[in-house]
Amino acid sequence: MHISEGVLNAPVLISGATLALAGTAVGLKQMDYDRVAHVGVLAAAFFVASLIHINVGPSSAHLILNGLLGLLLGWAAVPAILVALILQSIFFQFGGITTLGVNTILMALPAVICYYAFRNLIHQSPVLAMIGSFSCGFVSVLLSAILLALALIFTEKNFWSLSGLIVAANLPVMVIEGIITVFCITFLKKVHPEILPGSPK
Amino acid sequence: MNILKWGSNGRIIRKTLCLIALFCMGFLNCSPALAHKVSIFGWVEGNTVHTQSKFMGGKRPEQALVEVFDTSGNLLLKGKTDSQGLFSFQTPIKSDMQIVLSTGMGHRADWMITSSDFQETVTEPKHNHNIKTITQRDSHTSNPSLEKGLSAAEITTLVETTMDRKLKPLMDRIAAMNENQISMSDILGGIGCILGLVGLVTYIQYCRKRNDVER
Repeated sequence: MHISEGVLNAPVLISGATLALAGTAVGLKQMDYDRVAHVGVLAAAFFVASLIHINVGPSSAHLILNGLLGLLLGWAAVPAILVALILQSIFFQFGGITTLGVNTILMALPAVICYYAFRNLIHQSPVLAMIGSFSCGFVSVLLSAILLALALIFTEKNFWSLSGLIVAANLPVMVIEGIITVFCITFLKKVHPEILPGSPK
Repeated sequence: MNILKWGSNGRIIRKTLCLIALFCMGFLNCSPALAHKVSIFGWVEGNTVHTQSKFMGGKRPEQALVEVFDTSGNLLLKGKTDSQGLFSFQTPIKSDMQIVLSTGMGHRADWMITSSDFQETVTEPKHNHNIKTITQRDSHTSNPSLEKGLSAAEITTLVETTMDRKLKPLMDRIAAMNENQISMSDILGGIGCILGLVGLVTYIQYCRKRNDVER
């Protein structure tokens, strides 16, 4: 999911960076600083998740966990993902420094969207909660794949076949992330429900 | 306050952390340090430039686009990798060139071939015939070239061909090493940075709260 250096043109890079900066500012403003440890632990989980690799088709995909991050952190997912991406580009050479903004938006925007879309659903009946958390994991990766195709539209002409290819390559990741999100949310609801969004603190 | 709740739920938190740790370790064990970064490695043999491409974790990109550019950015040629991620081409120029691999989906890697790579391997396959005749002649008794000694060009050709042959496994090994495996220290370093940042933010928050209380 990380776009390498030298793939995108300047306007896409600059707009990505601007959006990421704005998102980070909102995230830092909205972050509950009593819960900064949550943000750190989840940022670390995101940082490591990219190393879990799922070999499918001609390309390769990896876990992202942005749905889970979004659901648990809301807007604070943006700075968390930004920090994790900076460290991934330094330590693992994933993506790059110039594409940092675009990559942050690729993964953080679906996280925030999923937060608003599914935060209420997870407090419903167990079945609805499971459907909600699975959809959260699934949809976040789907949206990331579509955003990736959108970012590449200016450099790779054939948008529809490209987005189809990216979505297909990430389909196993979507399903796996959906399942992981179900497990995490079910577990957290049992042992530590205060961490979930919309719960009484 | 969350912190108070955390304190009273210490056992649950510990259990959760243990589970997360187990979860992470299980994942790390089943696929150690795998990811999707792509890399390309190129080397010169005579007039041919060989390239080998890999996703991190060892998977080879099939039918991925390889483009070769000169120093001023003009496209010299392009081709696609085979099922082993290999692509070889006859070089049109013997100077600096950039080989760019694009596997689509925003993954890209490049490799520079410099003119010095060519200087070291000016041997052409056509010289092989000469070498064979020279060595055949040498193996027979008393020939005039042995008494006279080999000419400088013949020695150069011989040495370079032998070097090419001997270095081939070494180049293959270097290509295999080009995979850039992620080490445990990288992973732990990154996690450490995040935890450090959390500590810093918590400290700032703590100072702020203490100041508020003092006021």
